[in-house]
Amino acid sequence: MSSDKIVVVTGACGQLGKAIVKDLSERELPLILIDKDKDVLNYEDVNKSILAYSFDAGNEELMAEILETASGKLGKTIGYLLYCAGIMSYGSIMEEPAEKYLDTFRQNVLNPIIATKCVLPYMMKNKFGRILYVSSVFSEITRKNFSSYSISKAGLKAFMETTVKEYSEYNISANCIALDLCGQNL
Amino acid sequence: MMEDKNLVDSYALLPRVFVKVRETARLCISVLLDYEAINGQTIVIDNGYSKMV
Repeated sequence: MSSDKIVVVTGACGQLGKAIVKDLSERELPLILIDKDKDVLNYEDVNKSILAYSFDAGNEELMAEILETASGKLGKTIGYLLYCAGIMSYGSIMEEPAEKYLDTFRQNVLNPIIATKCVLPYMMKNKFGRILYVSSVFSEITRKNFSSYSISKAGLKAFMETTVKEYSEYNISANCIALDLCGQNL
Repeated sequence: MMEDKNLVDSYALLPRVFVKVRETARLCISVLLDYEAINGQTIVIDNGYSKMV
């Protein structure tokens, strides 16, 4: 891979996000790190090629503005998106209010869509882009009490596949990695 | 560089789970950076836990 392209990582303060950032920073790649948790700002002390921002990734306008500013500061273009933010939700169909479904959809589907829309212009311009969404085995299977979670991860998978169909001609690839529970929160 | 010890502390998890998270992180990075031919795939890492839910 080339170190002249920035890797954008969302969910940088989660368990998996921390391990990902550790490995990427050891490679001294230019990184833009995003998380709602203000602790993300501490990453900027690790090395000079890391810029960190704490905000809600669902704000499209702010996301676009931050990526433009950060890529300008780093003097490089965005080539990679590693989307590992998201939430787990649990409850039976009757127990979970509609608002909970909407919130799970917003965080696990709409926010990755927004991030993708914000990085695609850089990738299309340079005819290079690699996107990985951290998903769940629940995109492939269903279990009691995981309806909203499964729906959201299946939706993310459908979005990834559509992204590939629409933008492969720009040398942009996208994949999901569907983790089991132990890989993330246990 | 972030210290390994801090990372372990932040997880507050058993070392073997820590290793699993690190391995998962490395796999994610490899898929993102190294495997050019993979496109449009969902790579399932199924360790069987979800089947017990």
